[in-house]
This record gives sequence, C-alpha cells and structure tokens, in this order.
Amino acid sequence: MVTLVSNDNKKFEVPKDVAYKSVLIKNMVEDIGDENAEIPLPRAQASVLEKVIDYCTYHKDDPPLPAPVQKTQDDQPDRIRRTTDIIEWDYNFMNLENPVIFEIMLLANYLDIVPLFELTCKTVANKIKGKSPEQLREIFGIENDFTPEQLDEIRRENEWAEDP
Amino acid sequence: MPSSVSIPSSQIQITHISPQKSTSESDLPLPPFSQNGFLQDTHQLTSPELSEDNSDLDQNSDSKLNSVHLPSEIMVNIFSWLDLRSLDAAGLVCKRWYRITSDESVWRAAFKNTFEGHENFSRITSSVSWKTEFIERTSALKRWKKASGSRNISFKVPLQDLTRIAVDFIGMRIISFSLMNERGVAVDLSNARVGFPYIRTSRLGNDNEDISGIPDVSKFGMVFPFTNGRVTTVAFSRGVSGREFKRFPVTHEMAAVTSAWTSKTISPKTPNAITCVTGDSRGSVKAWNFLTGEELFKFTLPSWEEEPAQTSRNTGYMPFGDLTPVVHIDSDSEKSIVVCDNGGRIFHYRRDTKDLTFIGTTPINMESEMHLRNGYFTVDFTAGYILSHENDHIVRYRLEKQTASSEANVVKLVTGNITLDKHMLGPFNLDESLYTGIATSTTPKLLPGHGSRFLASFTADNQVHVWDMRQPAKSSNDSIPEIRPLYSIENPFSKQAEVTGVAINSLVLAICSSSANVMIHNALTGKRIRLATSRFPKKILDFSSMGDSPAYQVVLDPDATKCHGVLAINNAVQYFSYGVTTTGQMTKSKGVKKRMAGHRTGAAPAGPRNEDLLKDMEDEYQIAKEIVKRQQNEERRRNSASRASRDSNPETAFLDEMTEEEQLKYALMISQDATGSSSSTPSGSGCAIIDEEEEEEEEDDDDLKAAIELSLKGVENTDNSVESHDKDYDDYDEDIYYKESGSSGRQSFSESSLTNGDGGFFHDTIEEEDIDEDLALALRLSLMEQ
Repeated sequence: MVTLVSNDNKKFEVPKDVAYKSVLIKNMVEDIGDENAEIPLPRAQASVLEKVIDYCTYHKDDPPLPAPVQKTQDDQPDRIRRTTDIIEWDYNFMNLENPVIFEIMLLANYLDIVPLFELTCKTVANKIKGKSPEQLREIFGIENDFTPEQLDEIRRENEWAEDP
Repeated sequence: MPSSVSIPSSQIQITHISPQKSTSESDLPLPPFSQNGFLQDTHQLTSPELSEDNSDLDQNSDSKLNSVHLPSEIMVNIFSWLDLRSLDAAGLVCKRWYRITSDESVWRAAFKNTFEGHENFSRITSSVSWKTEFIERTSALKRWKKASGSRNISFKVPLQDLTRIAVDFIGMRIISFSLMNERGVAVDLSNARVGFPYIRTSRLGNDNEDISGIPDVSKFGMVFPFTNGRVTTVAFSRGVSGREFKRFPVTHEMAAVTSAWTSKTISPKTPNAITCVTGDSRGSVKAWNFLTGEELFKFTLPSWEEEPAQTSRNTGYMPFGDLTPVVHIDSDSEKSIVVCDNGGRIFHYRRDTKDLTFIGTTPINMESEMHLRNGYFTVDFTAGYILSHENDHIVRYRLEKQTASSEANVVKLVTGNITLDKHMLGPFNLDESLYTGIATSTTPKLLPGHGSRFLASFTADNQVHVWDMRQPAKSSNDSIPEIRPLYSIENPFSKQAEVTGVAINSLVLAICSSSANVMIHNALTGKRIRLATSRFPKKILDFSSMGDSPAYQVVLDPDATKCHGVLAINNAVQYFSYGVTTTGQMTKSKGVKKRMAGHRTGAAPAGPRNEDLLKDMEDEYQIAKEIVKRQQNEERRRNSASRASRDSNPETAFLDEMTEEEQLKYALMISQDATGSSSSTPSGSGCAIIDEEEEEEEEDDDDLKAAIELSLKGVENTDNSVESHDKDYDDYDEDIYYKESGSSGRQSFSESSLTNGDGGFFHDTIEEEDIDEDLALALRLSLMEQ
C-alpha cells in the first residue's frame, strides 16, 4: 500500500498497482525505496485526488499505453486519435463541471497519468467541437477581447475552413 | 507531453485576488513549486462541497478556474484533439485562444488526426508550417471531391499510338510523339486545338535520315535522334505550335544516335543547364544546349572489356566488342547524368569532377513495351538513388559513394512464396512534387512531412503499392533510409479491369484501369476519393479496334494544389480537372459569341506591344512560311507517289484542299497565336470553349473587349479561309467531347464560342516575361512568405 498525502493533509491509502498508474508516484516510491512511505503531494487537493484515485482504481488493470517515450523515431504512424474513443465508465466519470475537469486535468498532468490526462483533454475537446465562438465564450467563461475588425480579419484568414 | 505543469503568472495572480490569503504571504518570492496557497484557494473555491451552500462563491469559482488559467501547453493538448472547423471557431474566441490555436504542434496533431496518424509525406506547399500544409492539403482534397466545377475533355490526337507524352500543365498543352507515325504534335488541353504543323521527323532531317531510338519529349519541346548521328530539337516556346527547329551543327560522328533525353523541369533557356543529352551506338554521350546546339561536354562509356558487369542480374543481351549503345539517359539538368547501355550497365557521370562511375546493372529487355515507354530505371536525384525493378524487386543503387561492397539495396516486394508472374512490378512513378528537394536545407524533423517522397507502382496481380522514400538525414550519410511501404491497394476497379498505370503526386494517387478509368486516391492514406474520368465516347476510344497492348499513360500535375491530370490511351486523350481555375488557356465564354480571328497582319494587338514583339511576329511569319513550303513539297511528293497513302494519313489531307495562299494565311494565323500578340485566338483548327457553369465574372475586362473587337474586325476578310478549315476539320471536330459538371455531352462547334480572353492573356504574359516553371515556383514561394 502506498500512502498519498494531499495538500490539506488528508491521507489516502492506495494499493500499489493503483498508485503506480502515476508515473510520478512510481518514480518517487522507487527513489525512496520504501513502498510504505508516505508520499506528500503538495499540489493535490483531497477532493480532486479522490477522483483521480477512483479513476486509477477502475483502470488499474489496463495495459500500459504504447508510451510516446518509446517512440524514438517518427517513422511509425501514431495511434489514431479520436475524441470519440471514450468508454462508458470514463464518460460518466467525466460528467463534471468544467472547473473540476480542469483540476483533474492539471493533477493528472502533474502526476503523469497519461490516459487520464488524455481523457480530460478529449472531454474538453468534445465540449469545444461544433460550437460557435459565442457558445464557447459562454461555456468557458471567456471575455471577447477582439475588436470586430480583428475578428473580421481572422475570419478572412480562415476562409478555407468554410465548406465549399 | 510535459511531465509537470509550469504555473503561468496568471495563476499566481489569483493568489492576490483571493480573499483568504493575506497579501503579505503572496508577495513573498515563492519558489515555483511551493504553490500550496494557490492550490488551497482554488480547491476551496471549486470543490463542490464548499460551493454547494454558497451559490455566489460557486459562480465566482467558475470564472476563476476556467480555461483562461490553464497553462498554454495544456490548452495546446486540448486543441490538438480538434478538427479543422472546431479549431477555426476556437481561434475566434479570444486572443489567447487564437494564439494557442496558431501553435504549430496543434496543427501537426490535427494533421495526424485527419490523416490517420501519418506524418511522413511529401509536402504540397513550400511552407515550413504544418498549418499551411494542412490547410492547403485539406482544401485541395476538397476540390478533388467536389463534383461541381469539374471538367472532362476528351479528344483524339491525330496520330497513332502515342509513344511518349509530356504534359505542360502550366501552358495547358500535351506534347506527344508517336513512333508509328514518326511524328509529334502538341495539343491544347483546354480546347483540343491541334498544333500546326505536326512535327514530322522526315521534315526535320534529310530524306535519307531515319530516327533511331525514341525521341524524348518534355513540356518544352522534343529532341529527335537520327541514324546518321544528327540530332534535331523542336522547341515549343508558347502555345501549341513548335516554332524553333534546331539541327545541331555538331553531331555524333560515325554512329547512330540511339538515345535522347531532354529536361522535363528546366527551361531550355536556363543558362548552363543540361537541357539535352544524346547517346550513340558507340557509347558516346553528349550534352547539348537544347536551343543553340552548343556542346557542353561529352564522355564515353568504357567498353565491356574494360568494365565487365559482374552480376547475376545480367540480362543475356551481350553486346558485340566495343559497341556499347546507350539506351537510356536521365539527368538532374544540373550536374549529374545517369546512362545505361544495352547490356544493362548503369553509369553515373558528374559534370563537375568529370567522373564516370559504374553503378550497377539493370535488366534490359528491348522488347518490353514498359521499358520502351518508361525507360529502364528511375533516378531520384534529390535523395541520390537509382531505382530499377527486376521482377518483384525494387533495386536501389546509391548515386554517390558507390563501392564494390556497398551493394544495391534490394527491396523485395513480397517475401516467401512468390510467383513472379503475379508480383511482377510495373513502372515506377516517383512523385515529382515541387517541394521534395527543399527539406534537406533545414532541420527535416521539424518540417511538415519530414522530407518524405512517394513512390508508386503496381504488380501484375493488380495491386497498387505506395512507398515512402525518406531522404537520408544529413547527419547519417552512410545509413541508407529504408523504403517504407505505406499501403497497398487492391484493384479498385471491377474484376474484369486491370490496373494499367499509376501516377502519384504529393496529394493524390491516380490509378488507371484497362477500362479507361482513372481512380483518384489520397496519396497519404490510400483512401479512395473519386473516379476522375468520364467515359470516352466510342468515336474517340474504341476498345474493339484497339491493339493487343494499348498504351495507358496517366499524368498528374506535379503541383499538387492543382487538381487535374491527363489520361492517354493510344491516341485518345482525356483531360480531367477539378476546380482548377488558374490555368492560362481556360477561357471565359459566357456572352461572347463565336469569333474567328484571321489574317490581321496590321491589326493592333491588344496585349503588350513593342518593337521586340513585332520582330517576333515577323520571325514567326518567316518560320510559318517555311513550314508551309516544306509541307507542300512533302505533300506533293507523296501525292504523286501514291494517292492511297494520303488516305492513310487523313490528318494532313486537308492541306491539299487549300490554296497556297490559304495555307500561308493559316500558318500565319497560328504563328500569331503563338506570339501571343493579342488575346484573341484563331480557331481554324477547331478550337472550342467550354461553357463553365459557375461563371460569374462578366466580360468587363478591357483586354477581352479589345480581343472581341479585334476578332470582329478580322472576321470579315478571312471568312472564306476559315470556313474551309471548318470543313476540313469537320471529321476531327466530331471527335472532341466535353463533359462539364451538370451538363455533360458534346458541344457543337458551330455554336460554341471562341475567345482566348483574359485567361489567354495571362498565359501570354507569363510567356512574355519568360516565366518558366522555376520562376512560377519562386513566385509562389514569395507569395507564400507574404
């Protein structure tokens, strides 16, 4: 068991195979050399960490992804990346408010859990897909800082995107 | 993927805003990792437990941790999952998103997502930007897919089977040579107008001269080898009329010229370029200036005693003694020449060091139709390889550093149990894209496509294979990059039809079938895009009267952003184009009535006019006069010899019907067209214009108006001669068919209108400034940079 400590000092006892989904934790444990040591995660807040552990628990038996690190050459075509490749459990798991998804995304990135990070990116990408700029501003709470002239200019630049 | 998140300053600012934290603490110079305070804040603000009982705080949190505060690297990662349209919309959201969506890695990812993970490819743009490449590629593919704006023009070249063709996509003409007729002719692709006169070898040389070997054709002209050692070139400087005949003053002595080559890419006007190379029956090779006949350099192949080919791949064609006839020549037009003799020995000659190196051997089969048309090997001068095929193998030789031990790189197409007759490779088609050579100058890894190049071929069992030819990395000169198979395509046609030819450029792969169809596939993924050709009218292509081995030739524009190509079967030709609007000769016809421009020596041209131009026209006149005289003499001889022989050559019979004056007029008319002195086009040879459907541009063009006026003037006094042409060409006219999107079928010439409009003017302007392909490329490059 690996004990993870969140930044608000909550302790989570996690089976090794679950915790090792995070490359960061795996490396840390191996560096310390003590599998029962407490791992402080000063950038993880308890509620988000809990979510991440949920994910890792469900996915603990997944085969490791063909790690991009091993791709020394660009010769092989990459996996085909589709935002629609999301299993049902993951889809329900990601049924969260945007800010929470962002928190999980940041933490997954920090902990180096590639599949989870990809999942959050895909989820957000799916929210972006097919939306107008106005809808996107509303969804993501962004102010339009373009002048109308600038917008026109970009639209002209992007005429290629229009369907014939 | 970044393993840790660097927190941008915008997030630290939250600490300032946050009410829970004292300013004193946040003012401390925090080391980048001790962000506890910040994370605690956001946690408290965003955690559902806390926000549930305070809706104000909840709203607050929404605006606090939104995408604005995500690090750019993470945003790039999100955007890299998007498609083109979504990226477009995302770029309009705010300045930050615009900046991030402009990131190259986003486009590289979008490229990979769209094209099934492929990122090694031959580029279609000169740009080093993935965004530009992606957009250009996507929109070019769209044009191929789109049916509206498509154009299929079928016509018959008035020769028998075409042995060699060259397509000039910029000048919109096809230059062809038929060994059977010993003639060549240029035809305007946009209106099927046949050039005048047909280039006949017997008119070029003396009567006792026969051509030996196959003349080479390029979009610039033709070069003819003769048995008595002479060489003749015909330059097509503009339009479809050859106007410069050059018989070289120096010749191959005491030997027949057995092989000729002319540059397919470099204009003959380029100083110091290798534009014409000939080889003779004694193994001598000479490089000439195509236009002046000036000899650049020469070398002689060693005899068989000096350099015996020690290889199991020898061919059985043992030459006699010292005779090493040159049978195939290729060159990069600058410094390298690769030749092979009839024993299959390949040699590489370097102009700068004057080194002649034995490279290896290739099987020679003099009877092979494929070799007759396509030569015995393909040279990739950019990467420095010679590709030859031997049954089911690709044999690759390095051009440089060839030693006895560094053997050929033999790639077997199929390993294990192979049946030769099934896996026999057809001719290679190396993608001759405009930008294949640019990658080496900079860091290839960063460039879109990584400096790859496509190679396509097909096997006797109707499978089409495409390979990715990587250029060798600069650092590792000794490692030979592999020929990586990209994909194989099963016969895309019905079972009865066989694959008879392939062509590839950096965007699409064209597969030609024995049923006279061309299927277009995505060159990167192999996915089928569309059937590009329309059915040939029976008058133009009659399968029942075709010989045993019809010659299928399919050609694509090396500029892959232009979606058009040519299919030639024996002498039937079809030009297919999808959304190509920038070609020089295509003309706008709406509202312009049929006009014939005729004899108008004194008429003021609408185009640019100056002393040179007038002089040029005069030269044209002299040349045209001579052409007609020669033709008449020829015809007279032939007529007196045998009337019957005339019937077998109906394509020239019309000359008999004309008076000498008419012929002169006709020749002049053609030559005026060739000078491009005016934007109107004579139509004597059956020029027709296609009504384009989506033509919104009206003829407010001044040049066009002038052209119409001009042609109106010219019509009156030339009506007679024009009519006689119309009559003579009646048979021929019948054989030109157009298929337009929406309205298909044949257009009658009497109704079709004729003008050369602004399109012609554009084309002529290019010629005027002598902008050849290279200049056009440079122009495009500079436009790209802007």
